[in-house]
Amino acid sequence: MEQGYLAIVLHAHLPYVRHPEFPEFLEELWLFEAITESYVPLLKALNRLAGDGVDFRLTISFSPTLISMLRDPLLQERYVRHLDKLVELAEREVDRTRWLPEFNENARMYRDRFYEVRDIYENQYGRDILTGFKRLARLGKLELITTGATHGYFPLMELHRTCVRAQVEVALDLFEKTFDMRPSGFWLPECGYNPGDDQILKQNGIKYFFTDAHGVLFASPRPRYGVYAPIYCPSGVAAFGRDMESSKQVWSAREGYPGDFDYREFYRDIGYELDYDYIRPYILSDGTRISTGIKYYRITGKTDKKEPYRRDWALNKAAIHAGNFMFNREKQVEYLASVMGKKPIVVAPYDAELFGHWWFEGPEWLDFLVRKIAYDQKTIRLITCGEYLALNPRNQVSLPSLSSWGYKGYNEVWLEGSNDWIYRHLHKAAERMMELARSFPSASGLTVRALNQAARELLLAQSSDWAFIMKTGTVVSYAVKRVKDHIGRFTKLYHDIKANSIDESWLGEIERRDNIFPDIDYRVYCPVESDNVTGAVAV
Amino acid sequence: MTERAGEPLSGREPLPGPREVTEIMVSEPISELKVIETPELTLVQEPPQGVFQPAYQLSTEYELPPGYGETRIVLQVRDPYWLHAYWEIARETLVELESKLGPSSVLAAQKILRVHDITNLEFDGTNSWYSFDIPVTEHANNWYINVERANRSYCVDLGLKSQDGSFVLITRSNVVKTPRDGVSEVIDEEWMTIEGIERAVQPAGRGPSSPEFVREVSEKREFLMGSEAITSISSPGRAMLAAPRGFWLKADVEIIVHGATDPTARVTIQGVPVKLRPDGSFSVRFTLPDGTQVIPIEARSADGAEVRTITTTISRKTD
Repeated sequence: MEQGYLAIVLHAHLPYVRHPEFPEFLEELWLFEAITESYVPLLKALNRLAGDGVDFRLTISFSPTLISMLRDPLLQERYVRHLDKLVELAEREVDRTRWLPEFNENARMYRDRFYEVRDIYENQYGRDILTGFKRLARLGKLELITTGATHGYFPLMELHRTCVRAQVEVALDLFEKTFDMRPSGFWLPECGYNPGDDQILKQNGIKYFFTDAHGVLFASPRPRYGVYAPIYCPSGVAAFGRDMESSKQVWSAREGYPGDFDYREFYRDIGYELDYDYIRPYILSDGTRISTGIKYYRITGKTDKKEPYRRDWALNKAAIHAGNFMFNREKQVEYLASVMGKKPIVVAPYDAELFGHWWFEGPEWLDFLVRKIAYDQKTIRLITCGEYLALNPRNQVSLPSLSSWGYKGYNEVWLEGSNDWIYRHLHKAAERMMELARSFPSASGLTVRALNQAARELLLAQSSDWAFIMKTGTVVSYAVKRVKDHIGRFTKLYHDIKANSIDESWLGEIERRDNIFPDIDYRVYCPVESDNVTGAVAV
Repeated sequence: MTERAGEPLSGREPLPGPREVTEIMVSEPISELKVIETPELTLVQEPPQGVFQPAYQLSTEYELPPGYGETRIVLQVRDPYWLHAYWEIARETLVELESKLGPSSVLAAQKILRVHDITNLEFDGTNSWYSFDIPVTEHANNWYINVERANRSYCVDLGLKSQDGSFVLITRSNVVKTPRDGVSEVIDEEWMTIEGIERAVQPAGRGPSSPEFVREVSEKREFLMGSEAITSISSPGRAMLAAPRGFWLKADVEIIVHGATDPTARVTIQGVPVKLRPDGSFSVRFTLPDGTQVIPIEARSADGAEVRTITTTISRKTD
């Protein structure tokens, strides 16, 4: 009989990046890389586990923006074209490296992977890999949940909780249409919890959410079991706190597993290294070098002189690290169970894109870990939070603290010198959207289209990703442009709707570009009494 | 508050004023959209081959307005010890102030933020637990505010402080509450089931001897706020190699084996099949290491009856 539980949660999210107005677009590669390197390899690993009859439980959160992109025909078509070119490049690489055995082995690995990904993507799932995850959910192996519609950062929407509700309701609607069920859990974007937001989750039938460790540790009254048991918010929704110890082992760029010298080096990509004429057909058509995903080196050490990747060594390390992770969880659970007098739950959430994309061997690590937990020990059992609550319906009542999993743990990542200027506009647009929804309780025809598009533009402007990118300084101009475009389009819609002068051809173009949430109903922005949540009262 | 709470989570060093100073503080009547998205659909056309097309320049540029022609101040929480306020003062408000106080006193007055701690209060404008003033510069439209205590409610008055010390309120902010920076001092326990029906205050039976457990756990393990994690996929868009330091040279050698035969033939190089182009030509590129390579190139006719072989030997030596 197990002494405690481990809940592994993968949060899969990318911002909505889709530019039909261009034949190709650099930032669309985020999706393509994530499909090739993370989502398909994860799906493959999970299918293999299920096929082998391994008993396991994992939770995956799919953001509505990611769901929408994965099911978008234009992006699917572009992805297939992208993959075809990757296959072609990998074939040429197998030739090119023929006299370099250590590289040739890796070139063959990539070629075989790309063929396999293409087969899984195109033939097995007809380009909609979400059906694969849905099947695993039906089998009871996966618990699928979702997050805010466009991954808006909730704590900085406190001024208008109607916006939080819209993020939740639009998300749940899309999720239900995609997976034919309502999720029992909800991933708060960036783990950003603001007291009171749980009431909005409650109204929408959500049973649990996650916070960073201090969200639960600093809850009030003080939680008896720390993060090792959920707490019920006064609304009755459960909050599970992230376990820092298991997080750090996997996450930390410094001390985590992914930095092992035998693992694949992320930063040595042939897209940046090979002869320009040779690589030219496989980079951007403007000639900008990009990552291709073909990387031949292992991390090797703190050196610039990298050695060729050895797949067998790397897999061996992944197995060792899986064993190490399991061992640490066993010791942790044994200790916790002894002091708690009940079965602890260790919640270990990660970005799904860490697995495969950043940490190339991540999906294999997960595969090893799940098998080892199933067969090599009896101390811990994998569980989903929904299942935990069914087994443990009685929990302490306590209000979690404002928190996020961003650097320093609060709102600073999304509210600092580089990005604080956006809130003036986001808040104004929110107010205007609510005003529109109130003023047009039953619009029709073109006005409905404009109102729905205004709601889409507001949602897209709210993605936490834009503020995050501005802070991290990676593709700042793109993020700035996205905020300005969506706010700009929203503002034009607002004035056009009020002046009853909607420009239909312009609207048509904007609908074509920002085509997320085709079934959205702008009335979700009609403020209701319960939007005035009372979470912030002192406890 | 607790011991570990004393750790400076967010850096208490003073922030030097607002980071984002916009010159326009008194906003113009709305002219919010400078540029309107062009409706024509020509953008779907492929750009001419080889023309440089920066990836993120759409055809239109929206410029956001500096303000919305209204008088307001909005307060947000950054962390337990920092708030952020942004504000705007409408032209009419200024005119009103000038007519009330006289233009010269408005000019001479110092614009300030008066920060009130109003935790658990019905705030009437004067009864805060304590308040302090921050003089802000003329053209500032936002400010980071350092507060001393976590887990408190604050609101901010934007106003003018005249030389005789009197204060004229321009506008008042919303109320925000900062989070705790440590475990709660409240240890009463309430337990309930998911239905919430049998709410009952009841000490849990067996368990850690006291709620100190939480503190123990959070101190015992190295406690990290937020992740110092590898960031999201958005960041590696361009995973550039750092350029080597100083003067440098890298060199490698690749060779191209190319030729042509009957388009229906099967060609191998060193026994490995080669894909022919529709016109029967082929081309394969190899990285050439040091040493000698013997390269037989063989074409076999579709019916297998005819075979031609060309063998090349090539060697490389790098000193």
